[in-house]
Amino acid sequence: METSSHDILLVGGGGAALRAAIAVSESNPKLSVAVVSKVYPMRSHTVSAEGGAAGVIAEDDSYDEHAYDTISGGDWLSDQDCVEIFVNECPKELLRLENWGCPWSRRDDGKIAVRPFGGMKKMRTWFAADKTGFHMLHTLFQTSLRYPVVRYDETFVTKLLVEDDRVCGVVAVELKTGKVRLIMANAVIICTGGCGRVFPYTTNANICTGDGMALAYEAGAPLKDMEMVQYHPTGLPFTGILITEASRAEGGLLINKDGYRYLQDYNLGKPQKEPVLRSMELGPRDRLSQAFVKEMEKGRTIKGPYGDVVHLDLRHLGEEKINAKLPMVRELCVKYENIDPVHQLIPVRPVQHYMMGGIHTDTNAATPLKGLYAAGEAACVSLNGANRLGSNSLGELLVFGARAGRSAAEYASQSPIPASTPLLAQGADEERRIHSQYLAKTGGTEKISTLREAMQHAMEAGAGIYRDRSSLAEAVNKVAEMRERYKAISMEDRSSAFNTQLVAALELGYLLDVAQTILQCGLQREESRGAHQRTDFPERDDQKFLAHSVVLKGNDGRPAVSYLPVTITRWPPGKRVYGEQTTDGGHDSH
Amino acid sequence: MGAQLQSEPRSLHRSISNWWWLERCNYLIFILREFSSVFVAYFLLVTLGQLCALSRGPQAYAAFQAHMRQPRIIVLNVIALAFLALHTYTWSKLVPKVFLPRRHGHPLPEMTTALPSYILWAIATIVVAAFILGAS
Amino acid sequence: MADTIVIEVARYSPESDAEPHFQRYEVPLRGDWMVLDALNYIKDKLDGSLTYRWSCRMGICGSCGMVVNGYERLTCETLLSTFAPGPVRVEPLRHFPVARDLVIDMTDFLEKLSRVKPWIVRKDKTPPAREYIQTPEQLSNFKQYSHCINCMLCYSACPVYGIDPHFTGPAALALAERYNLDSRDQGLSERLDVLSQHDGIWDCTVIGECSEVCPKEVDPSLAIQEFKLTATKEWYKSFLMPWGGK
Repeated sequence: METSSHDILLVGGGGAALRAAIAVSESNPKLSVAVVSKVYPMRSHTVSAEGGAAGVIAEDDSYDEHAYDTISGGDWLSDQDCVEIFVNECPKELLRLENWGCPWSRRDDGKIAVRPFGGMKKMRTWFAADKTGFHMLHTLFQTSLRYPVVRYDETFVTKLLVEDDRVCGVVAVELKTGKVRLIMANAVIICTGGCGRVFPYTTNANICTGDGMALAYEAGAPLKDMEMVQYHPTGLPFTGILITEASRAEGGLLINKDGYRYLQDYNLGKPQKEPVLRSMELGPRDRLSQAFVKEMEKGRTIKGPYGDVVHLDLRHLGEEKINAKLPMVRELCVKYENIDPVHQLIPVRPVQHYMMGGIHTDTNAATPLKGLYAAGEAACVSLNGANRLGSNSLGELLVFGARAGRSAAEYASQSPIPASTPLLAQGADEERRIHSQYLAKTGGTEKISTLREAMQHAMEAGAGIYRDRSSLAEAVNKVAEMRERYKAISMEDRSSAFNTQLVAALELGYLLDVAQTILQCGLQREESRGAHQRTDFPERDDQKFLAHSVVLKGNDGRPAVSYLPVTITRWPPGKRVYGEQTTDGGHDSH
Repeated sequence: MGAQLQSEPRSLHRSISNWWWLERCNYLIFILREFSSVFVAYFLLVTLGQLCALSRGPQAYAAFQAHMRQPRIIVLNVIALAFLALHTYTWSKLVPKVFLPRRHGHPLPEMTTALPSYILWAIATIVVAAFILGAS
Repeated sequence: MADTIVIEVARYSPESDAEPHFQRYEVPLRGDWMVLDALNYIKDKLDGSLTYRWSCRMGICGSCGMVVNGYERLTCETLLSTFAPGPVRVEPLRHFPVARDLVIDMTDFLEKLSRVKPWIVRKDKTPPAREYIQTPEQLSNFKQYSHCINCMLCYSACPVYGIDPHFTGPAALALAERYNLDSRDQGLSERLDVLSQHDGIWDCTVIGECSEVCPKEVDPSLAIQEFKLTATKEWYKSFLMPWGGK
């Protein structure tokens, strides 16, 4: 078994990981930092983000307003100390990225341009056309090439090494050769992104399988708010490809089968000709997705070949504006739906998009497990609470990626190097496990894809936009059944070289773990808040549930949930109001 | 910088075939384009030969003309002319692929940049043809 | 339209094969399937050992570049029914070593990418108080070159790279030019030192196939030729005006 060691090891190679790696290098150039990722960094899912990154820059804007929008958008489940740090540091991080070459779109005077975005009262979303994530990731990756960051590309982590109650590295499979590597580290930072592939219809890439969340959970670190799953209101049917919120920020309209802007029926304001911030199509994602389900129940959605859809209308924007501000949207519609949004309506439906939940960390990205840090979508600090506002997650990568890098660097430079002997033993055990449970396995009867699809459909039915006790409980049973059947998966590919069936099998294991935590947290949160909507508990319950669900792997292997109060600093819980203010408070039934 | 640790590769190295240029239309056109330079050189030599013959007097020039009238030389010249036409056409087409001016940040249409070459070609052809046909 | 179509996929396993061979599979022919959907169907339902890269399935991550019926394509945005009645031949990208089936070894590209210094080079040590001012027109000077998704279809299509693996190659050179043209960058002379060499820009013979196959309309060929013009200008300037330079 090949071994190596570094001071800091990043698991994952996307925006948060690269930002953290650069932060480590800059804060202490003597530290050895490495990135281990199952894909090359520029393939990371950060690349697909489209709309933008919010940061206070306009003269009439303020940190407090960005904070309030985020906290109310998160239905008061966001930790407010974290939000305050975020809104303060985000503009500086976005500027740093600009200095590193990120091609932010500009005003005519050459300064950074901002656009409106869902749930934000002021225009503060920086953007790079409609490919913001792509430009951010490539800027970060290319800039990282000038720092001495060691990379283990296409190397799949299968286990976190824990010894003496501290995390000391990982065991990973080098995909090209099949070799199992032991990579020791003083500190490990997990930046593996989300777990959208737990659901059947998702904007997420194939690689978003919750690897880091499952690794941390298995190692004894708690996950937090796993029931908070965001649905993006406008994904393409069949593929689930994202049609960015920016299309609505630029003036796109959501209409039902009668051509009616139905959002006005759901306390999101009254329709105006121009987009109004925090109103109608610029309302928060959870409310828009929920409105779709209600429309579907009323029979006002359009029946498509892949289920019900509504229409996104961009025709009135004109070809010039679409080509300038939304070129990728046009390209995607033409390629994947064979329609041209300049002249035709786009069929859209809510699809799973983001995990507000993740590995529990503090504002310095540290988990309760010594030596383990997390940042980005894999983590839950919690910035986004029960519902993330669009354009907050790209900034989150930078702010908390940098904080993770700096705090891990400080920890690593002060902590002793872990002893290698027990780690070598763990590594050898893990190598044997991979061999016996997967590569050398015979007699399996279950196809990986069959189990995966069954799990995804169980999750959609049990933990979709609207949930109740019986749907969740049924899904818990189904997923438990998948877990059993997983022990009998059949492996056809026994080679060492680039074994993607091994990867698929390991990823399915991670997905099953993460699915169980989502369901258990959902079952036990008996209220409706943000993206977690219980038809049997339709009200928000701040008495019992102004708290995070914290889930640990129990001794019986099942998820055990407890609660951690939300940190409230300056914004006491209030009602979420979108659209125009009405005299009766204008709040909805949630 | 950004160093990558790598174990010994076991990948399959494939070498390109010597006939790669027959595999795709664009490759073939490229090779023909490059090959047409040979005929540019050929015409240069013919012109030098012509000037040399001219400088040596009417008898030498008559011998040159007789040489050029041989059927196999005429065939060669027709082929060479075809390649020269290809050469000039692909040259003009390449101008915007090498140099694409922008106005207010937007690239000008390719034909705008290529057009001057085509026009010059047309003018040169007309002038030379008028001169030769006028003289004969 | 028929119900099914045959896919011929190149298979190669370094542990058991000396040469690649083709394997035939019959898959459903659905009107909205991409070639990638067909490969996923094969892997999920017919042959779990089929190996290929993919991730975003929306043409932005650059993972799924392959050669389909002789041409470089991103399989996630190549409609399967274009090839009806088939068969459809899917092979790995050319000019790279094959690690397994449709997966190529792209180490060489990454090494070349580092070599061209694809980052903002500044001579001043302190960053500005806010952003560097850059007008929309200045942004549009390099914008198209910044769209490269590193899919390497251009390397597969470039015969020069096939014949001479030392050639820096279209994508890396286009990215170098992206930074050269960025008004915030001051690294032209550093990149010229590296790239105005025999296996840098001057190896390019303007075949142009790289730009033909590029799925993002980057036009790397144009980037290289523009870089050549700049290099030539700088060379003249260096001895006519030795006090200048960026």
